[in-house]
Order: sequence, then structure tokens, then C-alpha cells
Amino acid sequence: MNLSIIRKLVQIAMFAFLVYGSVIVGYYTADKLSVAFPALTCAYDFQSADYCTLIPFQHQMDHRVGQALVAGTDIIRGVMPLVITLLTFMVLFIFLNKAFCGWVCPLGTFQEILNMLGQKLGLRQTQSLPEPVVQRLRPLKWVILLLLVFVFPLMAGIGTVDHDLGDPFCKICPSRILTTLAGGDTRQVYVDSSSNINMVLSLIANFLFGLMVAVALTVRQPFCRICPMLALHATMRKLGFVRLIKNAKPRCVKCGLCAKACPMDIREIHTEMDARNVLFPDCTLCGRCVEFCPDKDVLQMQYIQFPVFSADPDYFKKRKKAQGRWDKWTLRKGKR
Amino acid sequence: MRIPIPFVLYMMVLMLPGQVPAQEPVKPGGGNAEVTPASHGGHAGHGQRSPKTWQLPDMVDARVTLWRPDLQSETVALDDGRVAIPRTGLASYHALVAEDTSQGRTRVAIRYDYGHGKPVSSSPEDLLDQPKATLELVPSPIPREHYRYISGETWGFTLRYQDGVAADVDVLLRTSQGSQLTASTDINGRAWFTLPEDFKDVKPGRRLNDPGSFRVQAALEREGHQYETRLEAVYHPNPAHWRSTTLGFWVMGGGFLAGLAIVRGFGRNREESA
Repeated sequence: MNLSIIRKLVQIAMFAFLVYGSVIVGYYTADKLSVAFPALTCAYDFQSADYCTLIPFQHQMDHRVGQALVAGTDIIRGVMPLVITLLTFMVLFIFLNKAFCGWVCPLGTFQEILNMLGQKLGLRQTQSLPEPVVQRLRPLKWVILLLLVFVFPLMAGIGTVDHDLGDPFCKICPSRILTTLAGGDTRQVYVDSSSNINMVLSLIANFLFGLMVAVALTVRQPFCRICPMLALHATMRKLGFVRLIKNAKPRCVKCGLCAKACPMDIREIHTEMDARNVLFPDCTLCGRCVEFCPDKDVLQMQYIQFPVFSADPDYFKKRKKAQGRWDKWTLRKGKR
Repeated sequence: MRIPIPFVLYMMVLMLPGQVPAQEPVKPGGGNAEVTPASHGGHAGHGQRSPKTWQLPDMVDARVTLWRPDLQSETVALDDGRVAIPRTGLASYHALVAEDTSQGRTRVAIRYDYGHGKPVSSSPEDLLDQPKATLELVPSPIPREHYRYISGETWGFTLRYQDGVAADVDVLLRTSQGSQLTASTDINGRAWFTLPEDFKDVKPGRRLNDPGSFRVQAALEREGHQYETRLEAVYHPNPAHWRSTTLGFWVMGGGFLAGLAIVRGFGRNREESA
């Protein structure tokens, strides 16, 4: 048993709960856990246990803030629902910080399972993306968060763009398609001919989903790299109880194994030697960097300053062996 | 299992000094002749919904009760067979119940409307579970908040009599488009209907199509007293009229092939640099 296996079990359990959990929490929106969940669990999935926070953000920018600006009414009244949603999100977020991405998000889990499948099918894996590609991808999540979650819905609410742009991120989000298909519902896979905007958005949604599935077979976490939820988490990562700490001096020899293990290609975790807090904006707190660090306590996951998992040479040796065994075994050639 | 975090936070924010006072409910006024929801009217008009009315031409002497999401009830005026549906400023389902009792006969009409406003801690399930008449048809389930009855979809309705259910009773569904369906309640008192695809001339897009209305009704005689109940609701054309799932899967397949081409490109670059 190692951290990766524990994480995988938690991910599978969370996938089952978030995608099918209405049997436990209830069918109606009022029954859901928070309606501001810090992971991509979808309202279009009628069996879900909760809805991601990006849904109410878009809805409130459109129907509350935008409406208040148009009507000239008290803007505080228009903004208050947004504030409530943000506070609800933060109440949940601080407990797990960015581990919502690496341990809870159904779409993240799906991409990891696809990658495992690609490995086992013997497809040649892209261990790390080239640095220029990584640098070009990174700003995209901020652009998507800003434009699709906040700006376009606000403009739709004001009336400067079409109403169909009131929830543009939902209309392209792969999690909407994943979670509904996982429940046997194909109604969210469609090309919408009701308007040009809806047609374009629905084409993007379906294309993006197919693209993500193909790329995830050989590249780790393709959609996570541009996910607006990752960007939203990044703005509040200093508030969360879970931290990733690097005690670089005196033991870190910059072997680079942490960066190689990182599924998000955060090379800075390898090069950073001064700052203690190495919870970078793209980190999903999967813990692989800590697992594959060969030096004692150089990397550490902490919960409210208490270490919960630290790099350890003995663990590293066992983990490396286990990884080697896992990598050698494929469905095509069987166990060597 | 419910943790009403948004509701709790909303109440905490309201307790802070200088906060916006609760929105006053709009007083009932006159309004539209039809029972359909107020039209959206373009985005600048969003939120300024015109008052809704409920027509009860056959129950002019009925007593009308409004059940709020917080399970408080109040009497609502019936004026010449029309009820102006009050806005409570609460965001959830409300139930309007018109009951007309004459000698040996009780007639009940119920409709559920979704209101907008402050969040509530209760669930629509609580309102549905609340007994509102001796004999009533209860949506099982009612469309989830922000959703609606859609043609072509199958929905259940439970016939509840006093504290139990009424099994093996004929239930009739009629739509404003002229369709009529019958079903019998099962051992759990539930009857299922697939809302007919009977909209004519469906245009692409929800906003371009006026909704229709349907009525589910049943009758029961007990101890010499006749009970009649009906549930009225609104339904919309199925989006499948302007959405193609087949095309969606084809486009997804195209994306998949594009993804394979991209990862092949990565592999080729890796070989060249090696």
C-alpha cells in the first residue's frame, strides 16, 4: 500500500459518490451538499451529490449582478448571492485546499484512469510535455476562468452579448458530458442548432471531450492543465489547511525526480530552493513529488502545519520498485 | 443528508450591520390571462417577470391556499375564477391548492410553481410530503429546481388519499395540445405518464416555443363522498427537436482522432530530438 494506491481508492470512492450520490443526499438542488463544490461535479448529472461552484458563479453573474447593473438597483443586492457562493466555496476549500483536484474531482479521476489504460495498452507515454508547451498552456486556465465564468455571463446579464453566453463554461465543460454519460444519460452529447452560439459551443464541447480522451491516454491530466477550477483554487491556495512544503537545505541535491513524477509538469518544484511553500498554482496535491523524493523530509505534505506525509528514502526505494513493476506490466504483453 | 451552508451563510450575512433588508414580496396584482409562466422577453427584461395568474373557471367558489416552501400556508383571494399567484420572495417550489367542497363532493386543484428569491433551508420534498388535501396527486418527483416538464419524458404522479395511497385507480392526463392518456396507479399509488410529443411547429430553441399545459386528474369515492383531484402543470417541447445526439457523437469522434494526431506529433518530436 502506498500513497498513490490510497489516493486512487479515494478518487474512485469520490467519483461514485459525486456522480451517483443523489441516492444518499437527495434528488433536489436544495438537498445537495453545498451547490458550490470545489471540484467539477455537475448539475446536469441528475444523480449527482453536489454541483460545482462554477455553475452558480455563471448564473449569478448573469442573473443577479448583470440584472442589478441593468436595472440600476442596489448592486449589493445583486452581488450578495455571489458572495454567499464564494464564502460557501471557501468554507469547503480550506479543508482540502487543492487536494480537491488531485483526490476528489471526477474529471481528474477519469483522466488518470484513461492514462492508466493507455499505459496498460502499451501506448507510448509522454512523460512530460515540453517546457514551451507547458508555458503556453498555463495562462489558458486564467483566460477560461475570467472570460467564460465571469465576463461573458456578466455581459449576457447586462445584455451586451446574447443570452446564450450566460453559461459558456458549462456548455463546453467535459465534466458535463462525462458525469451524465457515466449515469447512462446521452442527452448532454449533442450539436445544438438553436442558435449560432449554441452550435459553436456544443461543437467545442463534444470535440474537446473526444480530444481530451485521446490525449489522456498518453499525456497526464490534459484538461486539468487548462481547468478554470484549478485557477480558482490557485487564488486561494494560501488559505487552505493542506500545504506542500520543501525543506530544500541541506538535503535537496536537485535530482529532479519530483518534477519528473509531477503529472502537471511543475518543474519549479525541482528548481525552487528558497521558498518553503511550494504549492504552485498548477499543483493538484497528488503527493507524487513527495513519494518520489529520495531525501528525508525534503518534501512534505502538511495539514495545519502538522506533517502528514514526508519524503523518506526507505519509502522511496519501495515506491520506485513498485512503480517499476507497474510500468512493466501491460495488457498487450502481459507480465514480463 | 443536507448541509445548508449557503442558507446558513446567508443568514449570517443578513445579521451583519447595514445589510440589505429582505426583499419585500410583490403584492398580488392583476395580470396575464394565461396560466403559462411569464415570457422571458429578452435579457434586459430578465427578472422583471410579469405576475402570473391561475384560471379556475369551474371552481369560482373554491378556497385557495398558498403553501410556501417553508411550509407556512396562507389564504389567497379568488377573484372571478382567477388567482393572482403571489410572489413570496422565496426561492423554491410553492403549492397553490384550490378546494371546493359541496354536498357529497370535494374537488381539489393543485399546481406547483417555482419562485425566485431568498434561499430556503427546506427541500421541495418537504412541500410534496405535506398533506394538502384529502385526495391529491403528488408529483413523484417534481422536476428539479430550474428544470421543467419536457415532452417525451416520463414522470410519475402519486395519488395520495388521507395518510396513505390509492392503488388501482384510473388517472387521466390531458394536454392543452389535445392529447389524452390514461394510466392506473400501481400498488404504491403511482401512475406514470410519458408526456406526449404533441407540440406543433416546434421552433429551434426553448425561448422560441410557448409552453403547453397539462392536467392530471383522478376521482375516488369513499363512504358516500366523491373526491376529485387534479394537478395542473406546464410542459415544454423536448430540446431533442433542435439537438442532435448522433452529430454530437460524430464530433466527439473527430475530437478523438485529432487528439490521436496530436499525441503522435509529440511522439515524433521526441524521436527527432533523440
